[in-house]
Amino acid sequence: MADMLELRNISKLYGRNYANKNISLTVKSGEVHCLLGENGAGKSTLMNVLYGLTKPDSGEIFIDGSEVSILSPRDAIRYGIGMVHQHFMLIPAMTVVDNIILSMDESSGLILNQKKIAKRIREIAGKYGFEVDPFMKVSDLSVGQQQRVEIIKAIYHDCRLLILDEPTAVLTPRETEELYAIIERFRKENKSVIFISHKLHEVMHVSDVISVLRNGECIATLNKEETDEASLAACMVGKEVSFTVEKEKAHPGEAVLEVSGLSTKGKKGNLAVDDLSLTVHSGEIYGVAGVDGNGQAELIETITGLVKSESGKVRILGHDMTNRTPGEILDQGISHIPADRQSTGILMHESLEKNLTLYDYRNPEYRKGIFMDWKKAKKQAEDMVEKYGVKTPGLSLNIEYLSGGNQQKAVVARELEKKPELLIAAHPTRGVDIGAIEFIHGEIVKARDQGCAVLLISTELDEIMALSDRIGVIYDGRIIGEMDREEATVEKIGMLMAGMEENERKAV
Amino acid sequence: MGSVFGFLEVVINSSTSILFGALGILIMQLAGVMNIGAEGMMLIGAFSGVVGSSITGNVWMGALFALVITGVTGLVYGFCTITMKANQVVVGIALNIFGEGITTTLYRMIFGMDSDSTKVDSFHTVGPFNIPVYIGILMVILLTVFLYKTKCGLQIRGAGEYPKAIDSVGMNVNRIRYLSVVAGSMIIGLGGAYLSLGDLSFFTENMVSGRGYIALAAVIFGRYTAVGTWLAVLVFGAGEAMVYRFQAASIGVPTQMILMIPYLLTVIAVAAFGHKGNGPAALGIPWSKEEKQ
Repeated sequence: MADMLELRNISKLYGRNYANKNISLTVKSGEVHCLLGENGAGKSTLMNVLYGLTKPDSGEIFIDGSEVSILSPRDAIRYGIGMVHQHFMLIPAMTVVDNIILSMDESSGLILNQKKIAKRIREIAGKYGFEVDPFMKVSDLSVGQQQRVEIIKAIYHDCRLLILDEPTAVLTPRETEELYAIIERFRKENKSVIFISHKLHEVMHVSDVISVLRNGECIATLNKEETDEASLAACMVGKEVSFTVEKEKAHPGEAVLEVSGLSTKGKKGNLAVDDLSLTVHSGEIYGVAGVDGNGQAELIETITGLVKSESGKVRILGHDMTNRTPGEILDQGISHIPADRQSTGILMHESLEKNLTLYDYRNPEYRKGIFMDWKKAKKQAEDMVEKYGVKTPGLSLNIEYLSGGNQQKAVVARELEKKPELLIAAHPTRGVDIGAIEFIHGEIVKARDQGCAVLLISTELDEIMALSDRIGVIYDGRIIGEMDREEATVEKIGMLMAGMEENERKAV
Repeated sequence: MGSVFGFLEVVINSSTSILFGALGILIMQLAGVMNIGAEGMMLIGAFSGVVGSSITGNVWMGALFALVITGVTGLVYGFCTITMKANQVVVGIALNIFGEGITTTLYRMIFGMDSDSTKVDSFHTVGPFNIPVYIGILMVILLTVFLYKTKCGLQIRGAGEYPKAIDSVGMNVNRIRYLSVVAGSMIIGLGGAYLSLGDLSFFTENMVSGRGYIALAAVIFGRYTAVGTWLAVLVFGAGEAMVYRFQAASIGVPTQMILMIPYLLTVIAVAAFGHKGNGPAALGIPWSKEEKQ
């Protein structure tokens, strides 16, 4: 029997760079095929070609053994291909049903029968073991639920090949497990999945076959049984990588950030941060571990002045900064790498240069009289791009056209180059490839060694364990356990993350 | 009691032109194209309606002529803002200035410089109102059904909220926007034609006098729904009706203060409800299918 999908010698040039260079791969029915590679390796481009969003310069696509031409997503959908993009293609202001209707080719009658379609959505959801309210507005759904709506959209069109572009980047560990279950279900129905990722452990977990992409080329296609994480990592970056961060013992100085008894209301009106206290000293990295949604976002927003607290104090370098404006707080020498880079980290419709030099207008060094010294600012931006390895065709390009990983590198570059007294880093390496993770971690440690206090918030336990000098576990808005890195074990933190406090565990 | 009905009659009569303008703007803005230029479009509609009516001697042919001319105007507006991706505020203001200039010039050329306005055939009344008033109210209902219960309506709203999602399922965002702009412009033009062919039966220079802006305010005040827009339009219509009342009653307030009422209401409404978050997310942002580097 012919393979479900075959890509033959796909090439795509952007300017002088190959995004894809003679890539060939096959996907069988019932196979979970992983595309593994760093940011900018060409994974998304290849999938956009397959889904009809990008026109390749050369190459052929075969489905069930016969050549097809896919000129638009419409064609792809007709051939049974569904795609869940990294940034969802859902209209937030509309309901789930309306979003599904928009993706449909046919429509029966002039007036829509939303109830009928809602029923079908419930059926599909039920079959795959999850629930979705078809009449909810998409903006009221969690990210994990939105992803499921995207999957339903694909299934609704009888998709036989589902492309998932970095699906776990936005999911909580539990939602990830649920996604794996859906993928398993697909495999059982003899449908195929292409899973794009740069996380080694999940690739090893879900896939049958793994293709590694590097710099636009397909380096290797391996069966899962024949390989392991270390050799995949080597394949991906072209050199052996270590997952540990090399660092000296910390020499903590005086307290830089003191949070005491802080309470902040969340979006639903409950206390998202509830009587929380923690202290971060200069020259140490304090890692906050915890499952996403336990008050991390609200904690950061309160410290940086984006939302007001109900009670409690935030002291920075000995000054009371509770409920001051973000400007006043940033002036204390604070850098902030936000969790959601697209909404609070960067200006999407501005150039890379503007984004990199966003704060410089406040800095007298970049002023010529009352004017900005643009030459100097540009030089600074060029240096950052060079130092942090931001891959871009030019500084004047709007940052929205860079890949997620490169956007993140730009944010990290800007924040670290401010030489802060206190760095608040939320998921500093989210969506970034291994090579860059190593580099960013190194830079954070360097900042620490120069006396910067670092508050690190991450849901990736590996990252917390690798970087932190002290670890606090946040659960339900409070730090329920705090320990030095030496005392910390994955099991211990895992228990705390699940909400089991010290004394409870002793009782067990 | 009679005076209450009388007042309502004036409210509905004086708000119908604004209602058409607002519904047209609503369609355009929901598709993601901002329209500051409704004032100019209404003037062009008012003028071409009178021209059509005076040539053919039939008010419906006049209205049809207004629809065609403002449809073409919409096409040009779409070309500037959608294809050429010009700044929509700038193009809108240009359209207003152009509308005032061209209608004044052509009016003087065609109808001469006489101060006496040429009377033409105008809309007939059925019951208390003339026919376009009923069409306007019917349109509120039809538009609500269209926007929420047909696929085409969903596509228009999608194009204004998140065009990328529309593009990702293989639909042409700019085609949807063009259609919305042309259709919207025609409805706006009808609002203008109602001004000159409804209550009145002649054209005067700059006769729209701010109704295009009031219509835009009504869309925002009405939170981007057809019914909400209608209610907002009625509030503004009440403001205008009050002007007539107070003027007739001569209550000792300077006329200028009374004339301010509708505009003052507009400013208050926009200040209170004009904050971002109500409107379509991609409003005013041209769509281009640029690829990632």
